[in-house]
Amino acid sequence: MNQHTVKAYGDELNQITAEVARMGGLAEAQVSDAIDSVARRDIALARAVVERDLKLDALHRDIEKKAIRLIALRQPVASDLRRTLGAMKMASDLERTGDLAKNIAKRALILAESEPMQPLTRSIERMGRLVSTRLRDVLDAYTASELDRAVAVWQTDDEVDEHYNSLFRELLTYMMGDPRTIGACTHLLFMAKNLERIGDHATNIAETVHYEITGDDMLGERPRAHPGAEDEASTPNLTTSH
Amino acid sequence: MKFRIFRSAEDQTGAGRSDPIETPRMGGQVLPHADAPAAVSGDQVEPQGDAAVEARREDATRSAGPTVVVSPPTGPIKIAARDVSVFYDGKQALYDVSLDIPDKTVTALIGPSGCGKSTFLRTMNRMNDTIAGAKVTGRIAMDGEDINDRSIDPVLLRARVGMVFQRPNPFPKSIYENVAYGPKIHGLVSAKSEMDGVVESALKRAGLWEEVADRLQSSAMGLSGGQQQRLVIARAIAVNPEVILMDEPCSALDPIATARIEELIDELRERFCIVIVTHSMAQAARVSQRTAFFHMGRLVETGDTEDIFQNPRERRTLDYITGRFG
Repeated sequence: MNQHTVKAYGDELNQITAEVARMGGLAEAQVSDAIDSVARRDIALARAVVERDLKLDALHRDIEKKAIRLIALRQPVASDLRRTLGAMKMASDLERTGDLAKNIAKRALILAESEPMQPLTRSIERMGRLVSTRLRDVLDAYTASELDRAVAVWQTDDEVDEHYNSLFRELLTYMMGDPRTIGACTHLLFMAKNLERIGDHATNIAETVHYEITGDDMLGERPRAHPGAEDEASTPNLTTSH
Repeated sequence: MKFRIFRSAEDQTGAGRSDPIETPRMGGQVLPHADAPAAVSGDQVEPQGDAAVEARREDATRSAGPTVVVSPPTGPIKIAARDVSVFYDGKQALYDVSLDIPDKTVTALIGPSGCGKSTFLRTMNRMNDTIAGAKVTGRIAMDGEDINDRSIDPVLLRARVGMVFQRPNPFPKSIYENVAYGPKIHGLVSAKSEMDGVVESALKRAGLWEEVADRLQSSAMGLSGGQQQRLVIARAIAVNPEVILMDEPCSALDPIATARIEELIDELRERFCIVIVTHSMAQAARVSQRTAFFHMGRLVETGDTEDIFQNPRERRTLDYITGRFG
């Protein structure tokens, strides 16, 4: 891409992109630290995640402010406009991602007080790793403007949903087997839900990257995992639409 | 009130072309005929199927220059330009421009200085005829009729195709006389009372009536720049043109006067085919429905304004509208 004739304009755009990338890195770290804090029952790490969320919120506000300023002063069009709006959308997705990571960390603090539930936390960890990878991939796609990579993330959203569905069944089995675990299992269930939501934000970001690069919406339906047929009406639709 | 600017059919038959486009050939290539794709009557919509697109692509590949990105307009075509080139003293300023201009639409011509957009605008009412050493080749058809045909009187053509310039150029006469001048010399109006009506309606359509109704006899030179520009537009529409060409009509005006003119343009497009040359891309985005981007004497891309400003298909267009040229 050629340089803007007005250099400051290009610099401002690049600065916004750089800040989104930085925010992405931070959100990524928050998610993986939150998962670690669950897996390792690490109270200090969980607390750190909760505290660091403020930083994400501040970055979000900052990016939004810079984008609004750029729109007001430079009136970006076409690819520049998409880049500016894309930064704003991504900042919101990353901010929400951070909130969900914080919520996982908070639940990790509570879980640390009860008995360890090894196999279940390991399932959460596995799902967490998958979601983290997706988040990292889509952020890499953003910084490198790699369309294929973003599309790949978008197309594999169902993997997360499948993980969520099987975790849901696993947790149900536990709770039915031993009602004393219901409290802890509910926290784990919410963690799984949070991870599933983070996966959705990664998908949103993939859509934003696609729009930013091509100017078009993603077309076609994403393959969808359906909740197990044996769970009758009592099972809600497990995958949220986004 | 319609001009008869074309001679009768008998006059035209047998009468050869008068000027450089004696034969519609350039570089040994047969030029596509402009009257083929142009819809003749207002309500007759040109079929814009794949065939039409295909035909245009063929045109593009046939011309010597680089491929032009064209998303054809919908709706009837008012002016169809085919392979229009302009030379000033033998130096080529415009290269093989083929562009369809739809009726009742604002078409913006954008591009850096010297890109040929004003030159192209001037071909549409034969303003280049007035420049010594200027030569126009190719074919420009309005409603299917070649405007460069010998049978066309350029003066009458310019009544059908009005023009508004960068600097407001009212006559040093009264406001009333400025507007009445055109209808008078073209003999459109005879009675004084009828003329009063024509002047009033033109001034109203130009959004100037409220401001000047009580001083129609005072000098037009006493009006502000924005008022003068609207007066000039009133003068242009007083003779009921079909097309209005505007060459940077707002570049000498402040933002409020500019907004007034833009609002006026938006109202006028219901009745006229408007082509506007502008240096302000924001203005092109605001007022036009179609945009054509010129660069170095060539048409680079044309399409719906919203597409051009959201997602142009040609690199040079993107560079220009995002401010990356230079």
